[in-house]
Amino acid sequence: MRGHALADRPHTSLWLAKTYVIPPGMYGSQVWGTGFLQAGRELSSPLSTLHLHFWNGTLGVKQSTTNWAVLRECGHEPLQFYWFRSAVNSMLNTNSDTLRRVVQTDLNLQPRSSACWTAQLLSASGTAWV
Amino acid sequence: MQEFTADLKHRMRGVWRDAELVDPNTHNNKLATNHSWFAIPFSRNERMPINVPRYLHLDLSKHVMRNVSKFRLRAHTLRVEAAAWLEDGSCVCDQCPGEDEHVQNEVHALLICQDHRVRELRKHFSFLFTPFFEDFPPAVQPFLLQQVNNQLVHNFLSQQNN
Repeated sequence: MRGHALADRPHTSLWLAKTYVIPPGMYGSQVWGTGFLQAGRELSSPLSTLHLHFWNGTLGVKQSTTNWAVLRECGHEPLQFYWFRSAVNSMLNTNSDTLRRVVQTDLNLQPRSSACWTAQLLSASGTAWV
Repeated sequence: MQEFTADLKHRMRGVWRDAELVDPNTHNNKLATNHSWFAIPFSRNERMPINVPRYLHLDLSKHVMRNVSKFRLRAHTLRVEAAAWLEDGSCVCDQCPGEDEHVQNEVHALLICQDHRVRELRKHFSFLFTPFFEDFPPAVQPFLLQQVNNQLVHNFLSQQNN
C-alpha cells in the first residue's frame, strides 16, 4: 500500500478490497453466517464492523459516520449480501452428496429447532423456497 | 439465482427507499441528506453494481479527498451536525450577518450563507453556479435567498467540470 501510495488512491483500495477482502470474509459463511442474515442485522456482525472500519479509514471519515452512506459511497454491498448469496448458492448448487444429505437432515430438524442453519436461512429469507 | 440476487439487493436498499420519503430540508436525517443531495442514484437494473462517486477517481490530494468525503457523508462540523454536542444545541447558522435564522447545513453553506468568506468563494467560482441558478448573479448577490429543490442541489453537486 505505502510503496505505491495506494492510500492516496481510494478507488484502487476499493477494487483491491473487493478482490482480497470480500472472499476471506465469506470463508465458511454458509455455516456460521446464517445467524446474521435476518433483515435489520445487515451490519451487526463483528466482520461487518471491521469491513466498515476499513471503509471509514479509506475515506478518512470518523468511525461514527452513517454506515449505509459509507457503504454506498464506496460502491459496496454489506457483507450480508455475499453471505446470503453464498448460503443459498451452496444449498441449491452443491454437487456433494454428503452435503445434500446434511442439508436434508437439517431441514428435517428445522421445525423443532430455530437454531439450526436451515431455520435461520428460512427465517431470513421470509419465504419457503426450499 | 440471478433473480434471487436482485431481490436481495432490493431488500438491502430498503433503507434508501425509506430515506427517499424524508425531506432533508425539513428533517435532520443523515441518510435522507446523503440520498437526496449527494449519492449516485442506483441503477434501475438491480443486478448492476453501485457506482462510485467521481471524486474518488480524481487525482486529488489526500487532504482534499478526505474533506470531500466528510462533507458528503455529514461527518463535518457544520452546525446541523455539531448541534448534537454543542452546549446550546442550535442548528442555526452563526455566520450569517442577517436576522434570518437558517439551519446551517450543506446546502446553506454552499448556496445560501451570507458570510463574506463564502460569498468571496462563490464569486471566485461563479462558473460553477451560474449554469444552475439563474437568479444568482455572482458579482451582485452571490447567495440564494430561499431553499432550492433537492433535484437541483443534486444536479449541482453531481456536475462534472474537471
